Amino acid sequence: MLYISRTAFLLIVIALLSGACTDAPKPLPRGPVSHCVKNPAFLKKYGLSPPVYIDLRQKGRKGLVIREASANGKALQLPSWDDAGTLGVYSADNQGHIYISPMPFVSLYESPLSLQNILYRVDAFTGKMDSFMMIPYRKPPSTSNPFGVTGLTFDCQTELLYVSSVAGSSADQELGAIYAIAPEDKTVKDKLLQVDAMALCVFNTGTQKRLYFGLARKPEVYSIELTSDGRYRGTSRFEFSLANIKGGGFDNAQHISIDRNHIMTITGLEFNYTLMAASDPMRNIYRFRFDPKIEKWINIDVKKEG
Amino acid sequence: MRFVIFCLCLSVLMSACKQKDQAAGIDSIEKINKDDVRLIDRTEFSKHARSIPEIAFYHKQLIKALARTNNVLLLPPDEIIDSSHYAAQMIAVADPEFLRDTRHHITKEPLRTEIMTVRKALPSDLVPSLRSCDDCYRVEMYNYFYNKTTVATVDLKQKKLVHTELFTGAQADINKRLTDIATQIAIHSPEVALALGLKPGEDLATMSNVKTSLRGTKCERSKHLCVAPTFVKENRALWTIVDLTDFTLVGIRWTELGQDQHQVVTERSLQNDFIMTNYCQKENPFSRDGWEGLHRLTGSDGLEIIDVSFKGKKIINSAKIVDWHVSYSFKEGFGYSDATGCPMFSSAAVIAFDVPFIEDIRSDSTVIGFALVQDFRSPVWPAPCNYRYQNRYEFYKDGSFRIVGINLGRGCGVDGWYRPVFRMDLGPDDELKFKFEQYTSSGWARWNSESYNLQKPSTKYSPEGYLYRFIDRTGHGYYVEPSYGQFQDGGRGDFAYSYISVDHEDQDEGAMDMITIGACCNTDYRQGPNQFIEPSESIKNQKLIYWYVPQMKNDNTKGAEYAWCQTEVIDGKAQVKVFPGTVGPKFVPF
Repeated sequence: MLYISRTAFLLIVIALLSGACTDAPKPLPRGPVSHCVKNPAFLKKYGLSPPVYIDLRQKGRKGLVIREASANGKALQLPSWDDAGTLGVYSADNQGHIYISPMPFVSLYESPLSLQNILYRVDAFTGKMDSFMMIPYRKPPSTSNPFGVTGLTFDCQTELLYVSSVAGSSADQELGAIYAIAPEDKTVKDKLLQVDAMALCVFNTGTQKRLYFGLARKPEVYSIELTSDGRYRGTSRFEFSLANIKGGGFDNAQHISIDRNHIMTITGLEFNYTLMAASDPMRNIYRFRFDPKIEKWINIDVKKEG
Repeated sequence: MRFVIFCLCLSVLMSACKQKDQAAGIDSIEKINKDDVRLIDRTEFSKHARSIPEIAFYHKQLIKALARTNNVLLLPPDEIIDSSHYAAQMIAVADPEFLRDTRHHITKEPLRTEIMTVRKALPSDLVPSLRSCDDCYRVEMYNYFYNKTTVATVDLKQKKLVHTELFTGAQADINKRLTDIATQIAIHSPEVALALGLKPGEDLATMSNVKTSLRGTKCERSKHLCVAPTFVKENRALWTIVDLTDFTLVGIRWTELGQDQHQVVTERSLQNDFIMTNYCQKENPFSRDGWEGLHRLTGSDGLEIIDVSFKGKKIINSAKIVDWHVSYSFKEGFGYSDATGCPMFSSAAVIAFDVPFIEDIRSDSTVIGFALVQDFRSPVWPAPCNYRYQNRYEFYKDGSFRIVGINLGRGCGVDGWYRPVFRMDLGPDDELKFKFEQYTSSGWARWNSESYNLQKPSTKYSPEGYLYRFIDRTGHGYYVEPSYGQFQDGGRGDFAYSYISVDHEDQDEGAMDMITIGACCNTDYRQGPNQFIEPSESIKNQKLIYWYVPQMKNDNTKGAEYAWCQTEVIDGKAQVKVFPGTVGPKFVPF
């Protein structure tokens, strides 16, 4: 019988436990993790041909509109798609479900505060939009901060939905959080607290899986490492400030996407926890390329839009 | 003992594996001391700045340039490095493509444009087809009117412009002439001197412990060319935001060195910080001509005045504008319900950029009272579908007062109807409860229950011009004089719905900050206050709230503009001309 001293046994147990706990990094193919996202099946039922895009501009029609991307393409709005008032952010999953959240626009008249931290889901097969789950909060949205969910992204590898909410935050208190949610059972798998974040995006750098997020209070983008099962590990890391980029501005990153060429595109827009003007706001579109040698994002350019 | 340690270790490790709530560890909230940020009165400073010699000289050069056929302000000779740089500049400014935006696209008026940089082109400056060009120069020109930069590549061998690129909303690095002016503006500011602790007559050159530098910044709201001369003293940096389009100082802001190395101070962040720190949800006193009261910037009800008294007698408990309903005739149901308020953490879309101010009210040359004014704007006003409103509270030496709403355009079109919703809670709150009466063809008629009335073109006024009156048990009170165009402020009449509702102290019916209370586009009495009068209650011996919803239509007819604005070219730069639409009732004591 193999003899193991108590000390050796202790070391083995520690090693096993720490391995299980820290989830030692595995080599990850560099790239985005949105490859599995697919179009909802109901598009065909309603006669829409891909490519389509989701229109949340709230121009003419309140709520969700899906439009064919072609010239003179058709537009679809099902009856339930305006139930939650004006909408702000969305993400699709590997089955074609669309997760979407209310966001107040010019006034609260058609965007009740009580809806602002609810995540809705448009069923991939029926197209019906229903309340999916209330995102946790320490304080509810109020007239001094009418916002709830501000960012959504789906990780195809872990099948987790990351949801940022700024509900309840005030000028003096940052009460927002980024939740990692398993859609299949609506459970919160992990949460990153005390951060008001907007845009979210997951990217494998080649050595790590990281969640990138734009701050709501500052023109800055941070990231945090994710374990292979999608939980947070370590501390948040400053990536860059949009205000410090030549041609940039005091913008908040309100949308982040990373394409298969590892180009990160950020839509930068003013955000002050107030409602938006009715007109097309001026946006700055920032593009970055990933430099794997230094594991940093390098700005390519900034363009005005709107 | 060892086993105990083993168990402890195991327990610690097991607990470490459980999910834990993790803080992001990002410190996004900066505590701002009241004295760390200051906005400057730009108009006042602009007058002062004209006496700065560098600005006076620049202005002369600019006026000369604008009068020339080729109106580009060139680099001054002392900034031209050699004849090649000079040649590159002259080739660029002779090229029609480079000059395309130097005149207004419609009126062809000359626009203020200035060469900022002429330098040898770097390989990274050149488009691929020009990479082999070894005698190429880069010429950058900033256009103050359009807020855009034109970049030319000039090939000196070919003696021609070979590439032009336009950058809308982008600002070139400024030339030395403007750098010097920016520094002069900063050091001529009394606020900067005070902040740095300069003594009278002392200048920065004598302060060896102050280091200066020029940092980049943005004037996102005015879309002006701005830079930030920064003064580092001990462990703090004083940012001064200088507006080089108007030659003025926007404001100053202290930041801690080292605490936040990524920090950038801009016009918008400075304005937001100052207003939030000093005015939002904070009560500030005002006092003049026998009037005393408080004002506070609300989250969505504009600037509210509270506890206002005249010669010691309470007159107004609260007055504010809770909504601006905007509808457009060209499309049924199209419009917006705008709220005005704080620039951050509010449910307003049209927000305060600047602080409230007080101005004289004159009749001929005599000061007869004062007005407390607060301006609110959409972020990119006067662009289409952006709005600008003002709260204006007029207080007269004779004890009368007027609650005014001003619409400064521009909106989404010229078929716009604007309906601001006023809420007025008149004092005093004691046993002298008011009765409400309306003037009719048979004299003053008392209202006995909650109701509303519309002021029409056919409405009859009392011989003095009043339509309603609040009257207490002693026979005193206030006449209400709606605008029917008599106030000589350009107003074309209020055509207002007046509502009287009972103030239920156990219910929040607008005493607190109100979310939007009505739809944008109702054209009848259903503007929001109707919810407080339906079903109608008796108003006898009740404390009353007066709601007032005037109606104005905008107009862009040349020479008859109303509630409108348009951008003009003045000294080559953009200037917005406003045509106020002014509404609101006057209250006259009796």
